[in-house]
Amino acid sequence: LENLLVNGLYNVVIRYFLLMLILLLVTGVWLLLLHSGVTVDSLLHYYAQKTLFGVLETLTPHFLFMSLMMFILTHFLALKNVYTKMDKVLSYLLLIFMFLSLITPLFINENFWWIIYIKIFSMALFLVLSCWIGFRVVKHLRVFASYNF
Amino acid sequence: VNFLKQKNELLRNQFLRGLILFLVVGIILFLVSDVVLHHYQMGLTLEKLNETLRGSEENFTDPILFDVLLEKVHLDTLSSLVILLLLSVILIRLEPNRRELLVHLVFITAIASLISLLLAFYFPLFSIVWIVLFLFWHFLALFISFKIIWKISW
Repeated sequence: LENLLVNGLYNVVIRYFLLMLILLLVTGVWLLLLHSGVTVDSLLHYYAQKTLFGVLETLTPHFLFMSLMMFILTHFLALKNVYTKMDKVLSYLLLIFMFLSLITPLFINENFWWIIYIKIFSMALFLVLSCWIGFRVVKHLRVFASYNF
Repeated sequence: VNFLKQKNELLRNQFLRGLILFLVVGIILFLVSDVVLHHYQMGLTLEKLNETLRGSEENFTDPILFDVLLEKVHLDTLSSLVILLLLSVILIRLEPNRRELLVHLVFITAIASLISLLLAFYFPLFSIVWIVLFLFWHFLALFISFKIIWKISW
């Protein structure tokens, strides 16, 4: 009974974690669009005019905390071997696109303007995959509750 | 981390209890300084908060920029998420069958306070809502922290 209660309460915490993660993603994207504008040109201008220090000031905390948050999100799928091959592929893709999206601003300038498309593409896929994995975690919650953790 | 899986195992492990004690003390210090910092930066009285959000002609202060406020909410979301995850997971291990309401309440008030701060920028009514919710979730988190310390100390 205790295990069932513990797992049930863990599921409650996981749901709130997902809710706050969505809030974190929404405010993050909102902030970026507020600073840079919503067109490709304005995004390019935003990153191209930034100094290396300016880019690193934003990137440094994001390297740590996005890695941490995405680890927390994806590790729910890895618990107790309940994951499918699809969970594994989606999780790795999420982490690859996350790093791509984080690293690309370092290389965007007037000469390498095309990198902005990689940034937009990777960020969009990162957001889609985050939500998708979030849904899959919710789907797994019933399975977690039945396990004897 | 098998040693974390059962309440009794956690309580039996003296070294782990000591480490959790220090973690929770750190969280308490964070929560208290977070309240002081928010009072200094935003204002935890209606008058001071309205001055921050809308500026004051008397004191020649400009209203806060929306992107600065959004950045604050973004950072607050991250810090409250980490704090509440840690506290609730420790609490669940110590009291699996008694604290569900507390876990719901602390998460709901924290999320509602973050959203109400954004709404307070546009609707003055939400200023008081943010102050109440912000103080309430900090109070609940402190209560959980002291509860954990009490549980692992005795």
